[in-house]
Amino acid sequence: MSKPVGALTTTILLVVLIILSIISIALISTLPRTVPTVTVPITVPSVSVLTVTQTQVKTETVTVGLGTPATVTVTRPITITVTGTPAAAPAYPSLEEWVKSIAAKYNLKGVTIKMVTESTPTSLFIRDVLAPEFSKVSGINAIVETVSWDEMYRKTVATLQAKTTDYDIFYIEQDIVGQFGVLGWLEDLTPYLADKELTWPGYDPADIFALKEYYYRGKLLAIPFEAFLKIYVYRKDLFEKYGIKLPEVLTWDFVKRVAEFFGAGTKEPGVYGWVAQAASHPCLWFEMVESIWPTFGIHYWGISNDLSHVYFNNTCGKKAFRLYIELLKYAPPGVTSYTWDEVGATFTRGGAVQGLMYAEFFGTIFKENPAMIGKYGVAYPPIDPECYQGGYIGYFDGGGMGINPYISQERKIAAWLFIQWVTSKRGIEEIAKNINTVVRWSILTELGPELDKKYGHGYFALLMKAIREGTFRGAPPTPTYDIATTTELFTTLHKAVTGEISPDEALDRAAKIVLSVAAKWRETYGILAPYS
Amino acid sequence: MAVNSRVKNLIMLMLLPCLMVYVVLALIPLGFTIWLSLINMWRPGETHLYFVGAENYVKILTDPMAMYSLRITLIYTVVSVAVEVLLGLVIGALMYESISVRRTLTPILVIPLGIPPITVGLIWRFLFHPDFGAFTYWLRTTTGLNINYAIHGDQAYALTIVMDIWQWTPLVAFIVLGGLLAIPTEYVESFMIDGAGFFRRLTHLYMRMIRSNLVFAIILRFMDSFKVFDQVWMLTQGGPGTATQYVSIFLYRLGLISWNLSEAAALSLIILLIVIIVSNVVTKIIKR
Repeated sequence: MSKPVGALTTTILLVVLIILSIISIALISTLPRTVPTVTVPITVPSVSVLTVTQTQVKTETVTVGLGTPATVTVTRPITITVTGTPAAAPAYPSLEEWVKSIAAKYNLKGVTIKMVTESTPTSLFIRDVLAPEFSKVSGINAIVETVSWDEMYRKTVATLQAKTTDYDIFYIEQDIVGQFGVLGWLEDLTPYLADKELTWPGYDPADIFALKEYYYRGKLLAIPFEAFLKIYVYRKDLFEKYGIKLPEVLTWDFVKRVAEFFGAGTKEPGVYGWVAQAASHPCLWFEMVESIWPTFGIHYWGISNDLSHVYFNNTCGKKAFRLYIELLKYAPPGVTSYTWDEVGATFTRGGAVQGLMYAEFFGTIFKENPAMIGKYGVAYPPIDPECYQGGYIGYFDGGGMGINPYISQERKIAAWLFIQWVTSKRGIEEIAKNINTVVRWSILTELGPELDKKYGHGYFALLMKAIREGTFRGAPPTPTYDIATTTELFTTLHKAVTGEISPDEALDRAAKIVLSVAAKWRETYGILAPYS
Repeated sequence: MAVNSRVKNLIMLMLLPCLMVYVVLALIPLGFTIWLSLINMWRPGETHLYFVGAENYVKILTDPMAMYSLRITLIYTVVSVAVEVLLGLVIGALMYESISVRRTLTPILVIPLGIPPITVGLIWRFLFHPDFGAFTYWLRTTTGLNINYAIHGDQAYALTIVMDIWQWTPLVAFIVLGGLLAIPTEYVESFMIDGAGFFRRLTHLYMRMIRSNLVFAIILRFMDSFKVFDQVWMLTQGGPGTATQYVSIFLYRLGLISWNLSEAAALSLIILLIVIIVSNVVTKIIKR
């Protein structure tokens, strides 16, 4: 038989429960009074100013864009009064309507325009998404051909040199603007921008922060659709795992120590301490002039603006090149055949703990390997405190769309419509959301924080900082293409990479090669416009 | 006479389309190349064009990099063609003498021949790449040996030669086999009766009887190897450094990357001249 619960026990239990209840009530009453949050989605189709009145609290005025869906978050108890200042109906049609009407007006339906571009993530997005949308709306058949960097230039130069009309739009990299400008190879887009009939009223060129890089001697030669930094990228997760803290000012010494720590895939299986562009290809030269040398105080490719002397083979230049080669010990064994594509691919598989990378690759990294989301961090490139005495620190890269000057007026207009389609706020927003690259300040500020949060890399915050501080620059208007594609130049540097000659000797030889190319250029075309 | 004249006219008329195609596709480009080699089209967009005489030829012939490319291409060609012809001869003779060998080898030998050179380069890249090459991986894990053609020029150079031999030895073998099948069997039988061994039959009978086939194979392979591009481009892109920058790769970079069209035109004409001279010399030596 079970023993009945005694009266005493029951009383004790009841007392305990009462005490606990009293304590709980007391605690709850001390807490701040919580109020439910209500989100009220509203759409403001025809007001320019929205006034939200919160009874007994205060009045807030929120300005929203015309026709923009807005969300107002309020707390209870309040009453909301939404009043609108009547605004005039939109003064201009939507981009779709406008493109459709201009295409009809100029009888462009059925016209075919062809763009040749490097197979960058953004170009692929334009080819697969934006171009078909444009064709559907305008009736203009927009074909985007994506090829390798080498092939893109081969096709572009062949077309322009022969003054043929094979392609209507070219992919114009920031560093080619000066040289193409001198040769008169691109249509000046300034008159198009000024033409009120041919430019969509809602098209805001001032919002494109990279636009200034595409002017040469007052002529706008291309409209950028992608702009990105070449930055220091590191495996945030591995840094955290091994307790490595990124210093406030990143130095090459730190990078080297990290590379040594991780070694050639010895610390973490398949993860190398470093990765770089080191193939027998122009990419090797670009790695030096864009990313390594500026951090050692050698700017503007180490070439004087009057093209008369070079200084990338000075003490700091040589120190930089030696370090660059030394770091390759910690890179994957095949690194001496890596161009930028392989660097991107290495980061995609998480195969390097750190390196300098064009930020455009984030688009493909996270798309192809979502497992890497949240694992990367970014920072300004490292510097060498002895050599770096200020000045820009890294490369501001980008690509724009330029028009072939030899095509018919009809095709030029069609091409201009397509350029606006891609580089309008709407097009750039789509690119930003999908590809992680952005050329409009408004989109950067609107979407940047959200994308940083989504991918965990903080790149957009760094980009905003870089733009504000002006710490990254495009290439100078030297005859960049002629220099970078001189076989003798990059193969000489590569001989140092493979140990065939010493780094110092390679740079001295390279200096002579660059001087000879620059001298020929100066002889024919004179000095290019000063770098500003 | 009148009939003959009409026939001649008709023949000429029938030949006209072929001649036109030949003029448009061969003579005009050749003439244009010669013209380019005599002017100053040294940079993209050059507009101030003028006659420079033999300057481009002198530049090319005194350019250490052009000469280096020519030298390594010649060595590449001589080594690969020699090995291909020797191996092809032996394999072809074996296939001729044994039906079972022929049946076994024919499908195997057809495979490399049927693959485009660019794909061959890709296959070898997947086999030997220092990062992900299957063969490299196997070698590293089983023997501890590290092959890295991306950094060792001699390895890259050897690899491109082996790749060429792998792809083109079957072609020589089939050419040899074709020639051998045309030999009257009595000759072979008489050699057999005399007790001549395989090596003797090869050197004293087969090689002599198929001399013209061998000339054809050597010239064909020489011309092809001399202008090697696709598979090497895919495997090494001319690197590391300039270790595998064969003359076609150098020419491509000079003409279509640096856009020094005039020097590239001069170099291409020099290559044409070399190929013509070597082909004639080979023909005369073997037919002597």
